[in-house]
Amino acid sequence: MNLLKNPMTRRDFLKFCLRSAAIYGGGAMMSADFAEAFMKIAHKEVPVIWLSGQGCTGDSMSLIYCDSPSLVPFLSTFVDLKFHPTLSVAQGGLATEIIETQRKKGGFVLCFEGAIPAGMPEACTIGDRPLTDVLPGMIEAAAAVIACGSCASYGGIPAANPETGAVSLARFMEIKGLKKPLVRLPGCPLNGHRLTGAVAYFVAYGKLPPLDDEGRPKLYYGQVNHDNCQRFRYFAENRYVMDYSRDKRNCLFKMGCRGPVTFADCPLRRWNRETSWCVAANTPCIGCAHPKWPWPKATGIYTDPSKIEDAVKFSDI
Amino acid sequence: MAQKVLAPVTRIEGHLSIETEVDGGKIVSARTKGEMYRGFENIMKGRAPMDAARITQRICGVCHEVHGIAASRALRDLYGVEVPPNGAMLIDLILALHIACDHMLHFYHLSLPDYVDFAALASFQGPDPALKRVKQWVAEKGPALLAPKVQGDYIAEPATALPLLANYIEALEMVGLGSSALATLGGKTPFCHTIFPGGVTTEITEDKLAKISSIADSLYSFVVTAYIPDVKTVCRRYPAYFTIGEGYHNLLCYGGFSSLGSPLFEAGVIIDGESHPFDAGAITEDLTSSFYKGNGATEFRKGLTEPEPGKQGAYSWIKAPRYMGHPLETGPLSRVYVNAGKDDRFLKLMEELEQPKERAFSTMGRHLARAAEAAILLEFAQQVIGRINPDEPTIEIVDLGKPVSGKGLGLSNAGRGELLHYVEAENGRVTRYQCVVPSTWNFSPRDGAGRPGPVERALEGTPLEHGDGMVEAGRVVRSYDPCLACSIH
Repeated sequence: MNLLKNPMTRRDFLKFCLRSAAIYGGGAMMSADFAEAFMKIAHKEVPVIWLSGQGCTGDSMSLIYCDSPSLVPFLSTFVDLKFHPTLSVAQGGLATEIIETQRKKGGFVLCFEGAIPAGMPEACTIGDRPLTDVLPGMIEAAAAVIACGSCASYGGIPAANPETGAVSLARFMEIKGLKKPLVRLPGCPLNGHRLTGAVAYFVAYGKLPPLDDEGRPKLYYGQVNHDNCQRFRYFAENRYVMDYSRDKRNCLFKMGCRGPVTFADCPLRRWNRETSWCVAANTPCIGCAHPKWPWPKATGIYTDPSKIEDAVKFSDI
Repeated sequence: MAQKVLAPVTRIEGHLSIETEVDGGKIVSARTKGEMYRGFENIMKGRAPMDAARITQRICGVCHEVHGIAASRALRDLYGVEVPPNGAMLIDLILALHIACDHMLHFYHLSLPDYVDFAALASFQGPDPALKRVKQWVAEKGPALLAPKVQGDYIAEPATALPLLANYIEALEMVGLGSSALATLGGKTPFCHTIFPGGVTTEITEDKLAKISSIADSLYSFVVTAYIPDVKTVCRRYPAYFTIGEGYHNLLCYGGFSSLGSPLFEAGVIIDGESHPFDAGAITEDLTSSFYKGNGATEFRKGLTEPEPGKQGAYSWIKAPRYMGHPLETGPLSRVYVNAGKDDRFLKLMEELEQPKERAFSTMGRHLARAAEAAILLEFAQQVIGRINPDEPTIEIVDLGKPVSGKGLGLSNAGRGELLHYVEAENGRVTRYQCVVPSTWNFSPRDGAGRPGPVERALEGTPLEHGDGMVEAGRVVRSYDPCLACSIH
């Protein structure tokens, strides 16, 4: 299949990844920059350790709800999930042993969900150890790290509280002087395919997918939601929803829609079996994948529509 | 007296460990330690009240719709907005579908691995392609996610184990399907953003209702043909767990699902087996054993949340809610038990399993109540779908420019029990936000009087017969469907 000439659907892409992985075993398509990290991975399924910090497990739930592919095919074909706090059969000491064994082996992908309480280590412990003690060793041993969701990517809601000094995974790595290939998959929560797709790419090509300057896969975060919004036309015509009860079709800009500034693929790939997304359900994008989510206290999430001027000035056209 | 620790407890939401003292092969005392703090109540201070519907919604991503709904109810009280009938029905519908799916996830994916050995799949011979694939996966690769388990008395014979494991996989499909119904109503899930104090923003059309009805039908079929029978299979196999994990005979139910007129669940409290009317004013939160400044109990509306890690005598980030001083258990059991007079299917299931009513207070009693409630909620969901009128409004809007001052109380329900949000605002800014969450009740630590929390009490007497892996303690703890992100928030 010629990737440049034929635009692929997501399903095609996943099939393609699967086939490539089977044919090449992940080896032949490696690029030099990540070859070393990838060589540590002995077989085609990438070993994955999933850890959670100051989070809510919403990103894991999004993965559980994902159908591209569903959880079992994803786990049995693409990755070898060694540990997950919500799914692992093991518990207690056996669970920490599995994590520790994998840390010693190295060569795994660390998926991390939630923020890290850099200013108050007691605010998150795993077993009996503070997360801030466990995490550096795991990051050092990992081949790559994936920040799953907005908390891990940018700090999210926990970082809105100065009490615990909550920071994103990237900021934590910076504080600790840790350097690893990092993928950010923001979204509160992320949409499951952003993770399965990024991992499928890694399995197929042995390198991280093309990322933007912030480490977000361009495929899923290359455009703002507004660019692909089904209601874009109404925005261009200054036709706005001013009352949710009477109006179910127009542009939600005056209700505080953050689609114009939020890089994500919600209107393209939609959510939960491609069923819908916020704007399609007549509610503004709240920018949950935006680095500033959940937005400063002063501005809040929503706006008073009567105070917002028309976005398109016809005098300017 | 030996000390045994289960840390971390997996297959739950969040960060929990259990410390026990063991004597004569039984747990004689236990401590539940909640180990992660974010401070949602403090994050809300100074923000626009409307933000609560989106921010507190994210207290938990497993019970992902419950806090948004509780917050919208508190805000409705604060803004004095009336919800049109369609709006109330749509919110009940979202909550019912979500809780039913949450229950399936809890039984199959979080709890079942405590009872069934996945290695049984290696003997699978049938044609089911999904099972074949998983068999190959388990046999050839021994996935670390499924294979290593602590020592225990698991169901390993293929005739019993395989149908349960097949439904483990089918239940994943079911919760995925349920998520699509929720997205139809809420735009997406986890976290539907269509829920506002005055109702739901979504345009409701007949085709959407037909789709949701069809999904609710599939979920209901799965509940009655798989979930309930599978819980019964586990109950029959582990009858001892109708006495293990007993706990206090104290239950809390706020009532709810009232959009069709008379509520599906009536409010009620049971203390030491005796019924009492529910009064929100009797709820306090005790800080004695929690990592916050202060000691003793305060009425929940006046509570403070000032972290003090390392506080002398404290061992958990969870506060200790009490009702007239009593530790109460809350969950599906509390709703179906308090309402057994209205719908007796839970008690009938107990009868079928030859268990007296008082054994409802047990590990298996909780699983059975959860399954019964899933059926009750899905029947209710179908009734609601039939009553929604697409021509009527779904929402009454709130004037966001209004510098609102006042108080708002939202009593609501979650998969794990009864949920309360309380807001105070001045001039359009939140001055106080309080959440008293189901897992806060269940996993509360000791209070000022030294009374253990409900799960701490339920663990007392648990026999530990299969070594340090503490399979038995895990079973008791998971019967409460622990949600730690919720409990501490």
